[in-house]
Amino acid sequence: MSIQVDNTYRALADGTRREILDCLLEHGPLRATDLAAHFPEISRPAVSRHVRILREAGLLEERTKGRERWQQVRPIPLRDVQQWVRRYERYWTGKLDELARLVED
Amino acid sequence: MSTGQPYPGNIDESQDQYTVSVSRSIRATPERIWKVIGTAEGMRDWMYMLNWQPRLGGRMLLDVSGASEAERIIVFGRVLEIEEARLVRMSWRVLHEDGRLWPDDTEVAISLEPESGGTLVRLVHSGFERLAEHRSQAYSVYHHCWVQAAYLKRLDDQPGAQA
Repeated sequence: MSIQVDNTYRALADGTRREILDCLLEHGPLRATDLAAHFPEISRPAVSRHVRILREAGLLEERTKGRERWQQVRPIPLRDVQQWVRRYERYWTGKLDELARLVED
Repeated sequence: MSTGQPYPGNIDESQDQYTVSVSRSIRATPERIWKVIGTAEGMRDWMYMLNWQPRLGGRMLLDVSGASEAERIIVFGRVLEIEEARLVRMSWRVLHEDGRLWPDDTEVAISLEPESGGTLVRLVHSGFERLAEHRSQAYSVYHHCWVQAAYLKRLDDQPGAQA
């Protein structure tokens, strides 16, 4: 597994970080202060630290609007869903070939 | 994921642009093919699955890092329907190595139909329109909060999760 995937697992392994993600998924982009307000039981530096870890794992990104910085869940990879469909068409045809090779004598 | 020579089977006329449907006649009985599809060892050999629990609700984890694609991905899902030597249907969601996660499940169904001299294997990968819908909408659609947690929970029981 790649280092980045490991990072992702590690980032998601923490319950608070999953809650932060859930919160941003629910509310959309938030500023750090707004986000911290949703987690009154956690210190602001701790929230910032979690956000940084999530960002480093590629799960969040920061958008600057004027002087404000907004945290948001990263937009999805689907530059082109059609491209995925075509990729899978190739993938699955190849896989059926491999299946035939596995079971045919 | 390679193209190679002309495909001996069929790329079926898709019902729609968001469904992949391929089929192929294989010279083996459904029971023989099920020894691949219905076992963890078989799916490791065929699909390189790290985890495969061939029962209703069972988990699936797949590392496509070995494929020729430059991009490495992890796929995970659950068995949605299973009928010995006939059908398996599973959810299919992709996690990219850079941390991006498909916003929704797609679905893969593999069905076996006996025919003279062997089996017609049909594979339908559907649900891509769900991804497209998500893409075109605002963040408010992302209230799939459970997704991350449920996804994590699945990974927690995967042997590969700590790898």
